[in-house]
Amino acid sequence: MARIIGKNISLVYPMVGSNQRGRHKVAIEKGKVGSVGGKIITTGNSHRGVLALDGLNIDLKPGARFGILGSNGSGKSTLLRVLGGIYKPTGGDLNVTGRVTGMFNLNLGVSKEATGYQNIILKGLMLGLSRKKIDEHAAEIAEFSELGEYINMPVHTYSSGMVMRLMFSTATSFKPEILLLDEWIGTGDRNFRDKVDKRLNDLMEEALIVVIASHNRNRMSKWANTYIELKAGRGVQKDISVLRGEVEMERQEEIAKRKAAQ
Amino acid sequence: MSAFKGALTDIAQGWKYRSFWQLLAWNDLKQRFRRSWIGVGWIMLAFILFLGSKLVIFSFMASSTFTVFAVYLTIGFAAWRFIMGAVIEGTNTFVSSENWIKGEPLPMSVHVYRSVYRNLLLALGTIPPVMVACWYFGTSNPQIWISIPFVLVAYLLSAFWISIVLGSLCSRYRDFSHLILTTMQIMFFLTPIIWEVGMLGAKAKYVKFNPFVYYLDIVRIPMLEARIPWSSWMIVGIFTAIGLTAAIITFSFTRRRIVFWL
Repeated sequence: MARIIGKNISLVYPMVGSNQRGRHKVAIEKGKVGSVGGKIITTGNSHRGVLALDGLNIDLKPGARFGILGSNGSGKSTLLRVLGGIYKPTGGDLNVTGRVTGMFNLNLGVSKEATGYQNIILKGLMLGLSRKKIDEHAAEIAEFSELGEYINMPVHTYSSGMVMRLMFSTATSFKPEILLLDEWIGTGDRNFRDKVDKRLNDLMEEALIVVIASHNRNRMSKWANTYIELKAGRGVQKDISVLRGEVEMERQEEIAKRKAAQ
Repeated sequence: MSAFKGALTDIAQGWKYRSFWQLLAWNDLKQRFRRSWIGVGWIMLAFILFLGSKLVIFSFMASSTFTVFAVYLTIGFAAWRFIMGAVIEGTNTFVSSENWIKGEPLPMSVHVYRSVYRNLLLALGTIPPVMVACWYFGTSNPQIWISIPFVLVAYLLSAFWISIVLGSLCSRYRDFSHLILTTMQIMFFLTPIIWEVGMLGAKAKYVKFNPFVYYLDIVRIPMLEARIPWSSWMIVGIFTAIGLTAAIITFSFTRRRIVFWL
């Protein structure tokens, strides 16, 4: 049974090699805080780390469509990677039950020099499947992704949309119990986007947990059933009705503003 | 203590992914020789060309007969290629696997196995020329055949701990990979491979402080003198035990941190 329980999760990125030597720096007024990124932890003049996630509580049951919202550098992708087991939280407890598949970035977890087919084999072997079983999946993946002859060509010849098709088709073909997506998944063409939505719905019927990190509140309010909105690594998990209410109110305000302008 | 156990579990878990890292390592090799007509045959060809030219130049200086020197050089050079590869590629163990480390929650040891296996494949390319040389120059005795499997185990275990220790160190402190590359180039000249200890005269006593000498002895002495060099084996054994212990201690500390250093 898929389940994610996180208690008081925190993550501090250690800063390695971020202190630039020399004077090629933009002077920032003392005490001025930017609107992006987590809190930078400093000792004296040198950077020590970034507090990317700060005391998050998360509880996801089978059937959860969990949205991670927030602006640039708010910790969305970091949280996604923590849930995916890439980063171990530096504080708190995280318990993830179920097989996790994550798509964090088009450049990660894929061999660019290998062909699409070889990458499917790699993913299959990673799951401990036999070559015969993998070949069955490969046929299905080639079909779903509509990559055609490109499936036998090196991934570096693909456009980013094609890489996305390959990765999404592969990830979902192997039936993960927990699926983690970074927002790029929505950027395919219309026709493929519909297929993506349909496949996600199919997977949801098998009581899977899907997590999507995005900045798009409007779209999230329609898709998710629970969400967290991060701000400098902080936030509280809420029911989607809260977000729907907020989005609706913003829409009303927008309409009112437009009326007033007329 | 639990971190220590975690490191051992990681190493055991990583072994289960062997079909995955074997394919990755094989792909690495193919990638290295991509679009070349001779392909992976370059491993063997490069070895033969190097060996041939060294044989021509250095046999004139050698104190022993040509045939003895030929075997001495062939075996010593093949062994050195493996050692050099293990050390230099070891420094890149995690850095070169960055896109898998950040993209998939695999046991960290998978990347170590990948690096060691890649070295083994490279070494296999040098074995046919070595066998031909030994057969042609007429050295074959039972001590060789008994030694070979044990030498292989000792070399692979050494490559394993070196990859963990240097891989961790060099992903955190990048200066070390440059330092080690330079050091290994110097060590090639300080190690009796293209020259014989007898040529040194009074300075020969310093050779025993070079640890690489013992690694060469365990493979070279059975071939040349038809005996098992027990004292060298003991030193190699002690180095391996210390190395593996150091690796497990290092790994239990660095395993979850490496991802932040890439």
